[in-house]
Amino acid sequence: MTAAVASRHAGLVSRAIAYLIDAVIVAGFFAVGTAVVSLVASVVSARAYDLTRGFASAYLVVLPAVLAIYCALFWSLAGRTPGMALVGVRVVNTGGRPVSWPAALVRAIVLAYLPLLALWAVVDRRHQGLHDKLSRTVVIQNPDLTPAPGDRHPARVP
Amino acid sequence: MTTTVEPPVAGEPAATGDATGESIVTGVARRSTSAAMTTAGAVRDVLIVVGGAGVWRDVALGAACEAGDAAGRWFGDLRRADARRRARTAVLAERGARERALRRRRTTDAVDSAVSAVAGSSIVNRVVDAQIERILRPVVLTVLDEVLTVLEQQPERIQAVLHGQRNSMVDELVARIRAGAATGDTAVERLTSRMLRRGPEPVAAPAGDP
Repeated sequence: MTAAVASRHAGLVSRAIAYLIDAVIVAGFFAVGTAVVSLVASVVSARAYDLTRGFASAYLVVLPAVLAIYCALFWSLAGRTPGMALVGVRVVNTGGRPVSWPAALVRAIVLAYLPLLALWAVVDRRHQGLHDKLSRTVVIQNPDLTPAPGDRHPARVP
Repeated sequence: MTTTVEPPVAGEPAATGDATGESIVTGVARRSTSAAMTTAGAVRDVLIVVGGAGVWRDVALGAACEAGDAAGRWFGDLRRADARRRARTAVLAERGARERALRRRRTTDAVDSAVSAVAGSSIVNRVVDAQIERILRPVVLTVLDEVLTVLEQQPERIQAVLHGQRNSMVDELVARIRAGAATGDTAVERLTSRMLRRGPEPVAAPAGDP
């Protein structure tokens, strides 16, 4: 089923809020998971504990990878991450269709490791960052969910 | 009252009088009357003894001066009497206010002491306990039993209330977040449009469900 609705491109603030929410979720799960694995590894053997500590110390590389996997999964399956669902935006390709797996993966990796490239959305007319340009996607607002500025009581959350 | 009239001397008003009495005002009036009578007698004596136009003029002038002096003294006495009356009134009013505040404080202390004595008495305590046992405790137990029975028989009622409350709180939070984000988007869009001098934003392609 395809429900065609007129939409607005999501602005930088909405996208930044959604990205921060997703980053906090991923970082929280990563920290808790690392702590649990370290605890288990310390019980199992010293070598496993050292491996876990090395994995945790490389979080600058590992954490963006986890974030990229998280985003790619949600974009390809549902068209939006939990943070985007909370703000009321979603990702589609430039034709208005759902995002494909390769496009979602490219978009997620570029956004996770090079988030500053997303600032191109400030000057772009369609609010596309460079990761959007590369993956040929846009972020749009759900018109039935996103309130007009100043409206404090929009439609109910589905 | 004693009034002494001395023989008048030509060209000189001579009239003296002193007055004593209970009231100062009455005394002043009597003194004025006495001075006028003294002045009239002096004028008559002078006319009889001396006579002449120059003497008449001096007599009239002297009588007028005497009358003025008498009136001045009369008004001065009136002012002093009024000032004394005002001072006495102020003293009495201050005393009355002090006494009234004192009596009010004594009354309040007495009432408080009486209330404390009554509230702390064992008889009153027994009466209150008896009323609580007789009326309030059965009512509370009955109402509590009814509420527990309703909750036991129809738990979905309280569940629906709690569920609705939770949903409304979540909806409110999400609505606030979305409203704030939309406001920020609009502000940033307005700023960049003004800086870059670009036209309105193109409409996005229709979105389809994934």
